[in-house]
Parts: sequence; C-alpha cells; structure tokens
Amino acid sequence: MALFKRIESAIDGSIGRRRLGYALLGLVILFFLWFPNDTSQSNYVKTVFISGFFYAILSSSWALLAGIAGQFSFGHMAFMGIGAYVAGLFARDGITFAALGIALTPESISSVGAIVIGTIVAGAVGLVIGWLLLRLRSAYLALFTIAFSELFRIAMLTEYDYTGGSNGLSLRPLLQVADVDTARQIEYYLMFALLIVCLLLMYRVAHSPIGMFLRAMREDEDAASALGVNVVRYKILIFVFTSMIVGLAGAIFYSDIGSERIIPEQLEVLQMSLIIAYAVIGGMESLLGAAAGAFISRYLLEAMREVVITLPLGLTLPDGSDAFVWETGAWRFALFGLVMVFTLRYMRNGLLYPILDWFSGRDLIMQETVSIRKSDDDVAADMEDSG
Amino acid sequence: MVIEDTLFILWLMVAGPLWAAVGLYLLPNLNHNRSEKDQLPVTQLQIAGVIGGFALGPIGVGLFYFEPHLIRRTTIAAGIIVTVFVSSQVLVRVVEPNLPSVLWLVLAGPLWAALAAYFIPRQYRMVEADDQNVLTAAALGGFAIGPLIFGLMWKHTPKISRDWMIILGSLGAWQIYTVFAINNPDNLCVAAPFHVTYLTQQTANGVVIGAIYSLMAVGLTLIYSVQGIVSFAHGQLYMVGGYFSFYFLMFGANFLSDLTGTEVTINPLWGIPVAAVIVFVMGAAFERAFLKPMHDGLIERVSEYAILITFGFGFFIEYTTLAIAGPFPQRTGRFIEIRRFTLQRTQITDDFAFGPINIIGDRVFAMIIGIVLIFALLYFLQRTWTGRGLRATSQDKQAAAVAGINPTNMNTLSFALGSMLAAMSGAALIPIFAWVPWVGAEMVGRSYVIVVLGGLGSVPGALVGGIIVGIVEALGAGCHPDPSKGAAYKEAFALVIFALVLLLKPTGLFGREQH
Repeated sequence: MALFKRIESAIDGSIGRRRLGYALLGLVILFFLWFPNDTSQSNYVKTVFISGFFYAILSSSWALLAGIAGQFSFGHMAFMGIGAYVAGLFARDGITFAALGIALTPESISSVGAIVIGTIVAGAVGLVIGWLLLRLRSAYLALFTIAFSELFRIAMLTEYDYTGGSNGLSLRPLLQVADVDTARQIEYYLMFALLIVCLLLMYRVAHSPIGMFLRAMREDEDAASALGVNVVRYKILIFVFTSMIVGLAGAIFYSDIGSERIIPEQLEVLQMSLIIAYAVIGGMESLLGAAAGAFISRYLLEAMREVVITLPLGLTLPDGSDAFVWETGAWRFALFGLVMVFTLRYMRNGLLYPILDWFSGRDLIMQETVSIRKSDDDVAADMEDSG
Repeated sequence: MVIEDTLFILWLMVAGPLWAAVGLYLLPNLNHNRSEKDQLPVTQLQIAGVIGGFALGPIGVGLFYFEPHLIRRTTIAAGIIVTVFVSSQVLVRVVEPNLPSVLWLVLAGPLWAALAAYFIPRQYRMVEADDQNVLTAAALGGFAIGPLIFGLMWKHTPKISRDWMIILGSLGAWQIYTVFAINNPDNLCVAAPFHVTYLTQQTANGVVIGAIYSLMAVGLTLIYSVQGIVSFAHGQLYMVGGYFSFYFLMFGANFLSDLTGTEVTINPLWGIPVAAVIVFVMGAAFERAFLKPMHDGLIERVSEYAILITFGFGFFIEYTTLAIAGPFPQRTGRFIEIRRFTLQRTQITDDFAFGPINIIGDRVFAMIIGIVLIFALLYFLQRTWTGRGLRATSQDKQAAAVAGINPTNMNTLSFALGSMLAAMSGAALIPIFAWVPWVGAEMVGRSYVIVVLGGLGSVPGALVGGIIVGIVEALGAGCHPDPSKGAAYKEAFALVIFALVLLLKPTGLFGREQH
C-alpha cells in the first residue's frame, strides 16, 4: 500500500494522472488500430475482437440505460434484434403500397437504407415501450421488458415463413468482399469505428445536463420531478436513444460483410444476462468501464475455452504429459456468474471503474455513488450531535 | 407485400384526412388555456395535428392534444414511419385474408379500449369519483362493447365492483371466441360436435398443469411478500431442484441395487423432500450472504441490487448445472403405473356425445402434490407461530420486531422456503418433462405471469393465477389454427396476459394496493 502511495504521488508530481490516463487510452486505441495488421494473429482472434466491440456497444448502452438512468430494462437484446430483423426484412422483401403507386423493391433499397430503417424502427418501438413503461418501476419494469423480449423472440422463432425461424435471417451485406482476410479487416475497422462513435455519442449525452437529470431521476424520481425535471420526457428520451444505438449496432453487426445471421437464440434472456454481467463487472455507472468490461470479459471467455497449465521444473502428470489441460466448457460461465455476484456484493462500482476513476483524479466514485450517502439514522444522529 | 387497393384507398380517403382535419382544428385550441409566455407556435400545432391525425387517426390527435409536450418533430417522424410500417403489416397479414369480422375486433376493439382507458379515468378524476379499477374496467369495456362504455361510465361514473370486471371480461372473451369461430369454422375448438369434448380436454390439461405452476409461483410470491423483492433465480432453483431429485434417485437406486444385489428403483416422490432440503439450505445460505446486507442498510438502491444479485445467482447455478449435468435431456421414472385416467365417452343425445377425456396419470399425481403442498403452506402460514411471524413481517417489519419476531430470521426463512417450493415443483415435474439446464428460464417466465396476474404477495392469487395461466396456455396452444405454431406460441399467450395485466392492473387480481 505504501508503495502504491509513493507511485501515486510520483505520478501526480510528474505528468499527472489525467495525462497518463489519456496517454494510456491513446495507446490502447493505437493498439486496436494496429492489431489487424499483425499477420501472426489468426482470423479467429479478429472475430473475437469484432464480437467484443459489438458487445461493448451493447453493454455500455445498457450501462447508460440502467446504471445512469436507473431503468432496469431486460429488453435490450430485443431492440438489437428489431434493428437487425427489420433491416434484413426490408432489404429482402422491400415494401409496396399499390394504392400510392409507391413500390420499394428490394433492389431499390440500399443496405445502408435498410440499416437506417432498422434503426428508426427500433427507436420507434423504444418510444412506444418507453411510454408504456412510465408507470412501472424496478421489478415490474424488469418483468415487463423480459415479457416483451420473450414475446419478440418467440414471434421471430415461430414466424419462420418470414424470418427463417431458428435458421436465422441473413442481412444484405454492406460490403461484398471476396478475400477472407480483407473482409475480416474491414469488418474489424467498421465495428471499431462504430464502437468509438457510439461511445462518444453516449458520453456526450451522459455528461450533458440530460445526464444530470437522468442521475437525479435514478436517485429519487419524485424529488427530481419536484425540482423541475421533466421525468416523462427524459425517461422516454433515454429509452429511445439507447434503443436506437443497439438497433443500429445490431443492424450493422449482422449486415457488415454478411458473415453472420441473426438468429432468435441471440435474443434469449441468457444473452441479455451476459450483457448485464459484462456491464456489472466493468462498472455499471461508467460507459467506458462497461465497454471495457464487455470487451475484456468476452476475450477472457474465449481464451478460457481451454486452459493449459504447463507444469514447472520438468514435473509430469501421471499420464506422462507435462501440461495440465482443462476443457472448461460451461465452467467458465459458472465462474463468470460467480465473479458477477461477488462484484455486485463487494465492488458495486465494478472491477474496472475504480481504475478508470483513479486516472480521472477526481474521485468520481465518491461523487457519483450513493454508497457513502448517509442513511436517515446517521443524519438524525448528526442533528442530535450538533443540536 | 402488396396491399389490397380498395381497402387501403378507403382507409386513406375516409379516416386519414378526416382525423387530420380534426387535428388541424383541435390542436391550436391548446393555446387557449395557456399564459402568454407558454404559447406554442400555431404552425407547429397545426402540422402536428394534420400529421398525427393522418397517421394515427384519433389516437394521434388525442395524444398530442392531451400530452402537448410530445409534439416534437422526432416523435412525429418516428410515429409516421412506424404507423405506415405497422398498419401495412397488419393490413396485409391479418386483415386482408379474413376481412370483415377481424376488422372490427383487431382494429376497433383495441382502439376503443385505448380511448376508454385514456379518457374515462380522467373523467373520474375530474368529478373526483373513486377511480379504483376504473382503468381496467374502461379498457375491458372499450374492448368488449366499444363506444357504449362511454355511455355507461362517462356521465354517472359508477363505482366499479368486481362484477363489472367479470361481466366485461367474459363478454370480451366471448367476442374473441366468436370472431375466432367465424374465421376458423373447421378448427377443433369450434367445430361441432366435438368442440365441447375438445375444449374440456384442453381445459382439464390446463388445470392439471396449472396447479403445479402455482406451487412454483407461490414460492415467488412468498419471497416478495416478506422481502419486497422478486427473485430472478427462481427458475434456476426450480431447475436445480429437478436435478437434485434426478441424481438422488439415480445414485440411491444404484446404491440400493449394489446393497441388495437386485434391481431397485426408487419412486420419484422420494426425490421431492431431498431436493427440498438441499435447496432450502442453499437458499438460506444465499440469503444470509447476499441479501441480508441489503436489509442491514449496507446497500443503496435495494430493489435494483436485489434484481441483479438474484439474477447473477441464477446465472451461476444454471452454468454450474450445465457443466456438471451436461446439455442432455434427463427424466426420471414414473410416479404411478397408471398411464392415464379416462372419462368414458357418453352419448347424450343422438348426435351429441361427450368424452372420452384423457389425462396423463403422472400429471394428475403432480397436481395432487402441488395442491397438497400449497395447502400445507397455507396451514403453516395461518396456524403456526413461525408462519404467523412470516405474515406479520410481510405486513409491518417494525411492528413484528416489537412483537418479538426476528425480522432477519424471517427474511432468511422466506427466501429459503420460497426457493424450496421452486425446487419441490421442479422435483415434482422432472418425471413429466424432459429436463435440461435451461428448463428454468422458460418456466420462470410463467411464474412471473402467475404472480403478477394473481397479485404479487398473494398466495391464493398465485393458486388462481396458476390455473388461469395453465388453461390459457392449453387452450391457446390447442386452438391455434396452425398446430405447430400453436405449440411454439404456448408461452406467448401467457406473456400477452402478463403485459396487459402490468399495464392495466399492476396489483393483479388479489394484490394489495401499493403503499
């Protein structure tokens, strides 16, 4: 601890924490930009990274909705699915209004157009759902959104004539690239750029007055409303905003080079629980924390598929091999669940947020969380002391 | 997607412009009641009126008129796009194939329901009448009798009793059935002379399975009534209860076979207490470690913490089970040797016969287990000191503590008991369903529906809710025009009820009003 204090003061004395933080962030971004050019890495690792970016978007937008605005929605994956499915159906079927003489044939819709439509429809559904949810709080809200996303999943699974059922729906690719390596590279940069754009957008919202209103509503809705925060407006706004972000992410992720199909399995509550676990582990009240949590957890979960422990000192196992190999299977998820539970209990700000916070040098946690807020009893005791 | 020309033109020619004109005329009136500086720009109001009226008809106009803050360009644009998309979809997929009867139900019923649900409670509050249950009654009435509900409820604002709900609800259900019957004359549920038998068969199946759904939901409701939290690990505890029973029966049978040297099987009934004890301990340990700090005031934003922590616990259990048991479906032996109970066919008149009705034996046995356990629980809650302590804690923690009840222990007991009930229903159902580690996720959805329908915190509500959900699922799946899709939509029918209850009457059938 003393060593840590000395390092801390040394950094504060020389370049300062914030600058160090920015420098490290810059290095991380540079690393991600450089990474696809590393020819020694297989396409598999790149795919893991790409899905890591995707989940980072989902988790950080959930952190905005649940952590910052306090709206515990379990319907996030459903909005992702709406974006992807609507984009896919539009690009495949088009839409025709015979009476108006308007015929949007599939050929006339570009894949970008389909993605835009998917995003807008996700936002519009978010508007309706957000409006319906105004009356519901905490547990009821969670239950309603679970019901909504399950209904959506079942409908997508069952209406296989349109959606392809459990085989999934392939979206029209944004880019047609024949060469596999180049395709991965393009996909990688596309998702990375999308992640950066989404994070900047959400950061902008979270650190605007709107973000303050949202935090105020999270802490005490009635008090915020009494102080003049238009609760209805901001609740709906944040719902629509995050729905559009995930709709966009879904539409783009499943479009990009047409490598993945959107399947109803992706909309299961379990997938949603992964998103939540990522955000919790990273830090529910921090966008960057949740995004980093998602990326790192995703990577670790992939890396832990097979754990190989090489024995030191030339020791061998009874069967003669010198390395202990463990096919982790579902155990890695079990471990992950355990980490989530303990994080919630003992590190409510997540495992990564305190680190990010240290770099900010402002002790944001102290300002942000309510964990240090005094309980009523303490306040009463204080008043007695002073009076 | 090609829209039937005449219909679409009709809709555009008649409804759209009409409501656009109404909106154009109505919306600028908003400025009358406003002070000088609050005036909204008239052009914006007019545009909103036209667009809202055209795209959403009366809903759009009403929405903008009563919620003027929603008039924003983004809202309008998104509204139009979704309206065009949704209405075209509805027109093509639903209305066009079986036009006349569905049109009224699909379009008019919900429309009147929405209108009534929006305006009638306002009227009640305006005349300062008791507006309890008015929202529910208005929505049901709008759906069932259309504009007539305004005549009934607008002027005299009668007090809404339970009779209103029952009458209006059954009227609406009867209408759905009629429209369904007109459109699907060959469906087994409506085609005479078999339909009574078929419906009874389905209902009986629903009641039987519903009773065991109730058992699980009772556990959830018990936890909620004492602790005020919804356990999101409930489905996983149900699942793991089934697995404990399965492994106990397997290892127990092996052990006994080795011991006696003959082939021994154990009745799955014995698995139920074993699963109950193990999960009771698990639940108590989890409560002590993770939920108790919540009641000690160590944790802020309790309800959200409770959602996440139980969710994480469920996640952990599910994947641990998957790692140990693997993804292969498992099933134990039967409870009883009788395969099915049959009610014989009886000829009532010359061309009308009733029966035969078959119910699978094990299901009946599981139902009996469920009902016996629920009554045992009720006895415990009503007649024993500890049970009364639980109920006292659920009503008023501090008063209970004053009376010498330890609330901490009651919290632990409620979570452990609730989890135990989930595990017992799991152990009671593993002889009937194929068991996989994700079976809990599906089942828990149902118990949420049941507890919300019955009223969170009400034990009789959970019993009634379970049976209703069982019946709705059985009828929905059995009567869907396309049998394969009907089975797939089985859960969805219950979820629709769920969404409606949450929106219209969040306290459920027997729920206490929230304080």
